[in-house]
Amino acid sequence: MSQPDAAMISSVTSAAGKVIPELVLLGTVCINFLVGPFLVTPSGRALPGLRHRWGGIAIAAICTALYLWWTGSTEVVTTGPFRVDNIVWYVRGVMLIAALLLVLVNWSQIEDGKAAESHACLLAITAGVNLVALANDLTTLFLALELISIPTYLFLFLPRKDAATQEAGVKYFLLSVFSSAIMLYGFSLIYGMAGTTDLPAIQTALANSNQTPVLAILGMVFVVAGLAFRLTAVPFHFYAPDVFQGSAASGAALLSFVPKLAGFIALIRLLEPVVDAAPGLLLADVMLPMLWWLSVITMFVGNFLGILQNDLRRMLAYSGVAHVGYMLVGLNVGHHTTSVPDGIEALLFYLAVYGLMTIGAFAVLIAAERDNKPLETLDQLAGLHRVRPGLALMLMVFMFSLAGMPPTAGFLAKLNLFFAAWAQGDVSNRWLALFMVINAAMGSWYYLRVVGAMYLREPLDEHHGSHAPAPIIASVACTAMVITLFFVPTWLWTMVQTVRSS
Amino acid sequence: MTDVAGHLLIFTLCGVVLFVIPLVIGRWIRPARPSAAKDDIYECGEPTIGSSFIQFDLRFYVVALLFIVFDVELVFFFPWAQVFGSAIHLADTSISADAANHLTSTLFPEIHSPATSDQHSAISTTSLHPRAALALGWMSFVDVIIFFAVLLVGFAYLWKRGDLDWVRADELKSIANPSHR
Amino acid sequence: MANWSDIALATIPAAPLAAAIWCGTVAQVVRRTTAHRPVVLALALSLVAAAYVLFVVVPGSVVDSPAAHSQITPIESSGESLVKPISLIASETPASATGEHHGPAHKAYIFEVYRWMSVGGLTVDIVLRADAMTALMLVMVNFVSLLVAIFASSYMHGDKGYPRFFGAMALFVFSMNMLVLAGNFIEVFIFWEAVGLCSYLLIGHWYHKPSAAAAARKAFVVNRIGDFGLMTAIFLIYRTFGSVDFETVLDPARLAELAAAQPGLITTIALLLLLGAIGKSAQFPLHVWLPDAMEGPTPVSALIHAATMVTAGVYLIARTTPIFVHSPTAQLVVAGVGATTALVAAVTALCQYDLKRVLAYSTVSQLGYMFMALGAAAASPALAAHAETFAMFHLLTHAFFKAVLFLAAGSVMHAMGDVIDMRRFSGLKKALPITHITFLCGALALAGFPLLSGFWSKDEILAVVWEATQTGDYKTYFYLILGVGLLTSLLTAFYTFRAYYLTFHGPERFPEEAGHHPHDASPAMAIPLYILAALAVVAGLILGPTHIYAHYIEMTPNFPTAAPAGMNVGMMILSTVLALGGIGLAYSIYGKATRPEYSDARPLSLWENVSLNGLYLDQLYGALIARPMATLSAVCEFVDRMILDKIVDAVGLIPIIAGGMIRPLQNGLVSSYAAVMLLGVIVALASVLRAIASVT
Repeated sequence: MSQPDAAMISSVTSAAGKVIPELVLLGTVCINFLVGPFLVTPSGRALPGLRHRWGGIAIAAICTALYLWWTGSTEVVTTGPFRVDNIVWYVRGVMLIAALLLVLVNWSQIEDGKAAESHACLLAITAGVNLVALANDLTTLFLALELISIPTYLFLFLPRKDAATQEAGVKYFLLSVFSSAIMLYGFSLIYGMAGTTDLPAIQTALANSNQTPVLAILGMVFVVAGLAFRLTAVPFHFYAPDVFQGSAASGAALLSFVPKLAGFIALIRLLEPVVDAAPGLLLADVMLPMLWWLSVITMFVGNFLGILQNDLRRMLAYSGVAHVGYMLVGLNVGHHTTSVPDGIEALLFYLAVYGLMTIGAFAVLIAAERDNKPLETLDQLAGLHRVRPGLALMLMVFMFSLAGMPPTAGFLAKLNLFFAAWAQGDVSNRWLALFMVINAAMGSWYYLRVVGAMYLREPLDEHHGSHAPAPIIASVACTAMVITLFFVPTWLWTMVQTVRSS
Repeated sequence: MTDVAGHLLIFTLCGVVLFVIPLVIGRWIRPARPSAAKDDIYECGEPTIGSSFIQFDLRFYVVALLFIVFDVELVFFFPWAQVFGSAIHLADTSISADAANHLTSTLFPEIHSPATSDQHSAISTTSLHPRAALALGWMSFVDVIIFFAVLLVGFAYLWKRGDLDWVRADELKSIANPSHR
Repeated sequence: MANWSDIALATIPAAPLAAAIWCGTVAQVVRRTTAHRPVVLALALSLVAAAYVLFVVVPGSVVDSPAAHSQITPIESSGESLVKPISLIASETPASATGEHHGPAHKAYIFEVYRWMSVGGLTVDIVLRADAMTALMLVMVNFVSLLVAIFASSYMHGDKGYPRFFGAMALFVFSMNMLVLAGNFIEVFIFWEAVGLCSYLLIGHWYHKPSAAAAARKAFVVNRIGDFGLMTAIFLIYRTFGSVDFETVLDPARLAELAAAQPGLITTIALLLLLGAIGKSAQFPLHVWLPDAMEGPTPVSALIHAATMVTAGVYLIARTTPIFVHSPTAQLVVAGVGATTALVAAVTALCQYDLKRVLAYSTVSQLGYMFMALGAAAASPALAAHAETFAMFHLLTHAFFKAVLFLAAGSVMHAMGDVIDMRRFSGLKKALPITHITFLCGALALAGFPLLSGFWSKDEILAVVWEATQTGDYKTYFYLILGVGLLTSLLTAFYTFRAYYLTFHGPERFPEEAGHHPHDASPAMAIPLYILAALAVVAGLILGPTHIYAHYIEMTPNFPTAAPAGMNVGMMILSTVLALGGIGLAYSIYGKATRPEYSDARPLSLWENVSLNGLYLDQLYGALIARPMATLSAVCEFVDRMILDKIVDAVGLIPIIAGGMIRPLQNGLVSSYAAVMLLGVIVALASVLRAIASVT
């Protein structure tokens, strides 16, 4: 076989080799769907305790994927349908650990009869996020994003069968489909302009075109709008509070982090080839003002509305909106060699920390549930420190972290973003940094309300709630990491920096 | 600015005008003699029973969705069949160099562009070796088997859950034994 | 990779931290009543490690030859590894400072734990830095902590929050050790806050008592003022020097250059550091929190509010002496603050009936002495070494005798059923012999009785101030300071022995809370009392006149040049006279079997009346300070409530109103959400099109 033949074939055959951790996860998904229905009665009931086994299988699959991730090759490949580089390495690590936490969070939220499907969805979503990072082609990217969306609909729909959950599921489904359509329209415009779906080829095409690629810019606007839905950036955030409120806490925990991670990674992936390669006009004059406004509006609206909430999950939804506003600052500052740290680094750091603190907060809310009824209002947290001091302490850590106060990782994450925006030097970016500080102060208002409710008010009753270990393990792990990362931020920071050095 | 906005403006204007003109013309030239019969709902010549704004049974949608899944799956088979066919054809050692070259370029458009295939020298070096083509064919075959298997997992899931039955087992029980409801 | 020195340095904070974690987690559930064991064990371990640092590590860290300089690795250079390789980094002492007369120059031993953060231009490493001053502090802190922990194991027995108490105490010792071991100002600040937090937790240990909760809050709030000063100082230091490391900032050569160029800046930094120290060390006018802090359990008062935490301010100023020597102004303020505090606190202590409050005011007063000494170098830079040495020496001896006094007071309180008002008991000499003898040792040391430890250290401070009156431009000022110091010395002896006589002499009376047979200190309480009492008696004699202490502390890098220290016999005689006079005066009023208070038969003379009412100083103090302060605070409160609060409230309303305006959009309808999303897309498209059009 001559040399070109080998290159041709290997470009096809090697694709599977780059996604082995994802294949493990998806294989487990198939097993779950195949075996799951055989273990339940026609009416959907199962032996009590079956969920523990499915949960164990999910954890085993994720741990296997983690092992493969850790031992896998870090060789950079930029051709073919999948691209392997340090961002992929980072996203895989973050997502697999988040998946591990989400499995624990979901553990007691699901009936035995539905555990197989629920955990399968979680694994599929995990694989989807990894594939978003891996995608080197618009088609692959879209499929990966749908691999996140479709199981998410199911995941939101599965846990409870009351009207609120159904409404939340349907609402998310309809708007998500709508946003996918917007994004797909953007993809088609980019494809129409570049004549290829391959991202590096698009980059070349854009760099070589000698006129303003208006179509590609319009396409990018659609893509950003479509992805902004996943990020819950304003004005694409409206579903978030309703859906968070309606769905089970595990669904809200998933929504609060996973789509945001996928959305940001997709944006980083798309903005680099499409924007960085194109003439300077695109980046400086067109895309950045849009992202700037998106960031500012998002953080202000998120915090303004967050202050008014009495429902915990609605509040956390708006808190997520506000945090997306902060993270968009990082995207805005972008990759500037002059500023230390650069915006993307700060964003990647923030993403990981945000995941820990928001999933941790939901884990505590689940652990504090009484009689399997979700905690809804702030009043139900009153006096938690008397009834469950450990949970109250952990929730306080997460609230401090979300508010960006030491000694938590949230403080350093905000500090990094602030430094990135400030050091970059533009007046507009310094405004962003300033807005971020103002918003952080506003945000601490409602985070501290939670702490105040837990510590300064008398408990409504002496009910101790459940002592299911899984959510407690998840929240302890998150607390430990949130605090450890404050004291040893270099662990994560070094990883982030290797991402950018490639 | 003016250029783009002008275009948009003209486009919008044309759209509105073209939409309004036929309505206006029709309003002018048609005779207007409304009657009660004209406002009736037309449904295949049959008199309607009740309102037509009713909820259809969800099972219709489930079946429709299933149909679409397999329908779309069929669409995916077309590009695959193209690749598989070309590869198997290439594996045949008896075809001409020209044909081989052409097939290779359809399989690997980015590596083997038509521009280079015109040159005679390129043919011998870049057309796919028959053994490699056979391997490629087999690989794509395995690919589609996996694809199909994953689809069948979903099918088996639906089947076992009873989503293919018009009347599901648990509902049958509750029909036979209404006190359980 | 690690050698014994690193292990020792790491053990000093790590052992208490581990104990604190144990008490905070496991001991909350099981082994509650033996929660003190891991703490005592950890503190013993820390003490051994601290002793190793004192005797081996510090004397061994010598700048031996110029060749060593080439091996010095700058902290900044090493790379991107996850945890920096542990390395020994030498900080050299400029030959000009110490090289001439005392053999080899010493450097700080630095154990670099890890790089905490490196963001922008600011790089902060967590390091454990040991030099002579650190080692002395470490040994003192861990030694006193150990004894107090042993004492508390009996004293706190049966308390509901037993593991919580020991957890907070271990956490405090960890923080204090880290504060002392800090190698840069950021570390100092973090653990400065941490000791404040532990102090808050421990003052409020009996949080169900409103007075305890209020005292804890007061301590926290007052300390915030000082912390603001420290924080601003650190900000300025970072801006001025581009670094927060001690080695860089406290480099005398560089400081001298800078002081010549920007004397105002140095003075500002020094004054801000002083503000921080004033808050933590309870100096006038921020001393108000310390007497209230006596609401905490007595072992806490002994450990945190007498021996260790409150001395952190003195330590900070001693540590930053290289900065202070360049600012006579700041040093004059230090001396002035110290003298004022010493006098005001001593005068206030005269009229207190709460035994612990007497001791608290005396602590404030003694800390004032240390500040006085530190400020004396304003007269001449040549005095800086003496000033620093004797301030730190008094810090050490004070830790011993004040700890024994507090623990003895705790023992009294324990026996008296938590009554501490000296009017309600008397003549405890027979009932509590152990407490009596140890309290007497402490009291004599505090009063400056000849040859006891307080005598040596206080005498040296007065000698330094005397020297300050002989040289420099501020002779009159220092004469005043000296006068205050001598007066305070007299008052100290008086109020100490007033408390002693009121408590242990006179007719034997117990309050009803004590029951019939008050029991003396249990062995766990007695042993720490004996050890500390013994040290209160002999520590000064061993370390002071023999110059052991002075020679040791000179090993501190960047230590000011020392002139040979001589005995000031005149000052010694004078202070002896004053001490004996104070004791005698106390005896003449309170030492007799019949006391002025209880001789109801005859009308009180003027003198007795004055002394009974604490020289009317309480009233005077009230009229001069408390009432105007109350008025002022009422005005402040009015302004705060009626004006500032309203402004704050109004600002706070902005987000709520704005949020309420956006809220109607959130109506729960999918169709309207989709419409708004589409609107967003259209607006984005329009703006982008406009941008494209405007550029092309």
